[in-house]
Amino acid sequence: MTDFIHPGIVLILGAFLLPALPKNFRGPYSVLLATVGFFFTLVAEQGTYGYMSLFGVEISPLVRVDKLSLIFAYIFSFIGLIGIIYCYHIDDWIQQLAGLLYTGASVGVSFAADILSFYLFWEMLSFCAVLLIWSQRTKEATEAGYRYILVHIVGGLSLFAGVMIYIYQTGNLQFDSFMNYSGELFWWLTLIGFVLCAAVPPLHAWLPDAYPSATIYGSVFLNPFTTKAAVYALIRGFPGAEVLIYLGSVMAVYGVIYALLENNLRRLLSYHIVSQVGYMVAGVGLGVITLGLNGSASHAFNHILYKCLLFMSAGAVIYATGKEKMTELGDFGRYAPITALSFFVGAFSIAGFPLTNGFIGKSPIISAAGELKNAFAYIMLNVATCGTIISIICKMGYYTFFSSRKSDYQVRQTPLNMRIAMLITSSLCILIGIFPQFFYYFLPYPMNYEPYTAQHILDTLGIFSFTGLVFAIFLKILKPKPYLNLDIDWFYRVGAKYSIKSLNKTVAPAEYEFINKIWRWLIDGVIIPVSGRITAYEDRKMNTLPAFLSSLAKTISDGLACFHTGKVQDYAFYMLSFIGLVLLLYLLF
Amino acid sequence: MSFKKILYITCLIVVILEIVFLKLMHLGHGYFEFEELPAFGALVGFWGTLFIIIVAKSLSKVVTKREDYYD
Amino acid sequence: MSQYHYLIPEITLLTLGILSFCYGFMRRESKTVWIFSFLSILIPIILSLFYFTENEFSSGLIKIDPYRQFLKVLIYLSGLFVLILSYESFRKSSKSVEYIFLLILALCGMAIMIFANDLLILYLSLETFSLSLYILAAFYRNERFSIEAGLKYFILGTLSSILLLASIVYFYALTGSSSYDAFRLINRGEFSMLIGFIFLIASFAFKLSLSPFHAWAPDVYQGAPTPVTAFLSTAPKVAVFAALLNIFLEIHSGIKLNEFITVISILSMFVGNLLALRQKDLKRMFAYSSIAHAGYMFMAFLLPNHALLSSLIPYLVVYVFMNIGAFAFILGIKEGEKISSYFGIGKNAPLFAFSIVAILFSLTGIPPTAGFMVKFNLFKNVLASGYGELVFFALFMSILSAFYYLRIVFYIYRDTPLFQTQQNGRLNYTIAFFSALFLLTLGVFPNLILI
Repeated sequence: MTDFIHPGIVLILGAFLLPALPKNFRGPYSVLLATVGFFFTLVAEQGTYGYMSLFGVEISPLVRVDKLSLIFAYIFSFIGLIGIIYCYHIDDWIQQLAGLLYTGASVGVSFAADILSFYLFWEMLSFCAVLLIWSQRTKEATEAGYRYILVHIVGGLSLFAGVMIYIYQTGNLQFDSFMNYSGELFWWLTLIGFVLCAAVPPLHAWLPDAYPSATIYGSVFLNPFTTKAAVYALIRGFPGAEVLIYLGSVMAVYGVIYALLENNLRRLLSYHIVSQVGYMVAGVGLGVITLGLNGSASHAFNHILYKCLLFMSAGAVIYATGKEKMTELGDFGRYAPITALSFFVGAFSIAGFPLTNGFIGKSPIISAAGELKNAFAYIMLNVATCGTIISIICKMGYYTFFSSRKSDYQVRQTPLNMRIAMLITSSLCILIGIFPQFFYYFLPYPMNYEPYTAQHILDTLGIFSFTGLVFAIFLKILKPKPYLNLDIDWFYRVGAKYSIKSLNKTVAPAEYEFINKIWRWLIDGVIIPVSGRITAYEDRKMNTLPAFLSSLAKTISDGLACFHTGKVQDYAFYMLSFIGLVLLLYLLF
Repeated sequence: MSFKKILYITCLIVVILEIVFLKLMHLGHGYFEFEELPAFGALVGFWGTLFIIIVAKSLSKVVTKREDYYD
Repeated sequence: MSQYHYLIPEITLLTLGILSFCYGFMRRESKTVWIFSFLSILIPIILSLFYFTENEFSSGLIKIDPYRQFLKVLIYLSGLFVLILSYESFRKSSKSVEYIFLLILALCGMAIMIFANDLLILYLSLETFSLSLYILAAFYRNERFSIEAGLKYFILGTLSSILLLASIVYFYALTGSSSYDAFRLINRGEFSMLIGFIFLIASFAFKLSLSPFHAWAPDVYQGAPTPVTAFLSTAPKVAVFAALLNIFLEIHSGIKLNEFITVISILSMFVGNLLALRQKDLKRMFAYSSIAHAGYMFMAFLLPNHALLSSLIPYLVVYVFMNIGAFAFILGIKEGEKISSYFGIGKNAPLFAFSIVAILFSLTGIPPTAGFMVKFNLFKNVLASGYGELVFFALFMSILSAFYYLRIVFYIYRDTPLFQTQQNGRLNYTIAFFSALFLLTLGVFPNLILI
């Protein structure tokens, strides 16, 4: 392992030092640690490393570094660094610790070669996420955290069952493509585990439920890791699973529809994660040609950049004003031009405007749909682009940064480190958009693809301008309203309430009236008297043994103590007489 | 010039550009036949957005509740 | 000349020790001397690390191979820790310079003893460190107990030296050589050979405080200054065990001393554990506990060569850290040798209490501490060699040992709100904490140490 230092382990171990440090050192230390982690990722060479033997099973290799895992590791460790810079100023080590752990765990996920360590890092992701949600320290956040962990336990169990059956059936511990076992039980179980973390409807409701409940720093950390780690896992495990094309396409549109209805900034952005991950999932499904897989990886990479940028600027808005509903904001661009600029860079990127990284990121996926002649995916993904434009640039951008001021909010100056983080990320979004071929070089599979064709640019411009047109027409209807939108989580939020109520009506009376009485009779009438008998018997018979032993020990010890007279001559006598005795015995026998 | 006017003019220019470059000069090629329609991007933009707005609005009749719904 | 190349760490230790002694003797300035002497032990440790990669070296008088280097570093480390532990006690003493020099001299003697490949070198090095230790034991010249301890140790130690000389004479008479290599030539059945070995083991058993050659240990441990007791209970044991190990490895499991070894270890475990039960003075209790531990370790000499190495060396490492930690916490509070001083530490200094508990658990052999791992490893190996009854007895005795170790734990966590623990030196705290951490780490990752 000398030629490879696992950045994930470095981050995880280093993070635990954080609470021990004095307050002033925590910010610089976490930035330093994240930089070190990023550096170790950059210098990681391709290959397989590590070896372990566990309960007699040889696991080798533990760590696999190839182009696919590298591109995810690069972006995970980089965005961890950006997030840590963003929360440099806060005085809450739990969030910084959880952020570093989260980064480390997701780098660990992308480097894990065997399925057991993969699972370990995978579960660590949910743990860190819950820490970040709970650190908001409100009642809503606590409840959302509990819902989050319950949902993820279900997903984790499904994955665990799948993994265990996989190991049992194949005897293979490597985490490779499952596609040879398509349709088997464990294939489905594992897929469900991954798909839940990728927030594919109808298993997506945890995401818009939990992410807006976290702190603004927490949601910067939350949005890149879990879902994109799931995308990585899908690319690794299920390339070309056809069901994913349809799930992904529907998901892309589903997300934007809900996003359009939303009023809360971060909830809107969360639905956009659902939508954008939809592209990636569809790309994995289109992975029978490498263009689709490349598209997923490149979209994940770029998505992390602009999505974090959007969450950071939304966070900056919330930090500055304390409001996070569009119905209470408006005309904010006047007070914070840098925030507004970063937001619009992010917004144009997510919508896929030419010369931004969103454009070059998702075009391979759409082209893959075209090459495979899958008209459904092709149309749905383009329609999702329209939805993205209208909901994020038009609705969120217009009603937050322009429009008229809707409530009387105070404006605070955002800290320098937040602005630095936003500016670095925005410039990266633009740079990657301008030099796509340089970026494509890092993709997992070799690819000869040119995003800037006349057809593509003009189609995109057409979509943009006419979406704007429709928005201008429907401006009144689309005005944000202070309402809440139900989603799949209704089933377990309200369903749980009703099921508890009905249990109270049925099971509880039975329990109290019937079982409890029998139980009480059993305890009072049978168990207590019998155990009393047994204890009495034990007291009589068994307790003599320890008492006997201790008195024996005391007697012997008293006897031995006589020999310790404290006189040198006695001691010398023992020694010599023992030697003499031994010699005598040897002589005789 | 008002914001709306700029928007209208942009839309017009884009449609013209699309027809000139793609239909008359044949600079691009689509994957599907329906992409050969004139100003395909503009059509997708218009109808796609309309579709989303309509679906969203009809969905909101069912799912939109007051903010204290869960409390 | 090449043997000097291999002995550079020892020569450095001695030279630096003498230099710091001279400096301290002239200046009598306390703090600098401590730092100098700290460095003069630390530098040889660092130098020794460079020799680990080297292969075996063997001349007529000394022999060096990786495991001897390792044990030597262990001794230096224990010397280093004892030096740190002594700081609080001897800082204000006017004789601290002499104390340190004697400590370094003893370390040097022990190192040579490990490297010895000749019985005469063995004898010389044994005397070198024994003489230093006699003086160290009597270092509080105004205290009756200290003087008594020194004298007892000295007189009985001379007796054991005589035994060693007698065994050397026997071997020389039989083989015409005093080198270890001559052990290979011996005629195994011969009775006079057996006498030589019995004398040899008896004299070593004295240094290891194995029963029935143990009787000096409690008195000396109690009377000597506490840091010196910490030193007595760790470094000489490692050195003497290492020398015995060297000799046994040369013999290649030839001689029939199994009954002798069994009897000695049974006696040691029995006497050590049973008499430790009745002690009220913690230093005296640890004397008996070290007799018992020596008994456990002595069982390893029943094993064939490879198993002997792999069960004894981890035990020695863990034993050293357990005892250093134990004496660190005794030194860490005022009147630490009285058990009543431990009232309420659990409330007043939770971290310190945690370290104490970890160290005591390790001494008892309770998982997840390193003490359990090495004990388990040793017992398993002995059992595999077919000494089932012996292992059963040792297990029984280990259970008995829980009573006197864990009694301290009860005192620590007993509720006594009015009692204020008096601390004595942060350095001792730190050492106790780090040895506890070390023991826990090794307990959780035993593969680091079990070869």
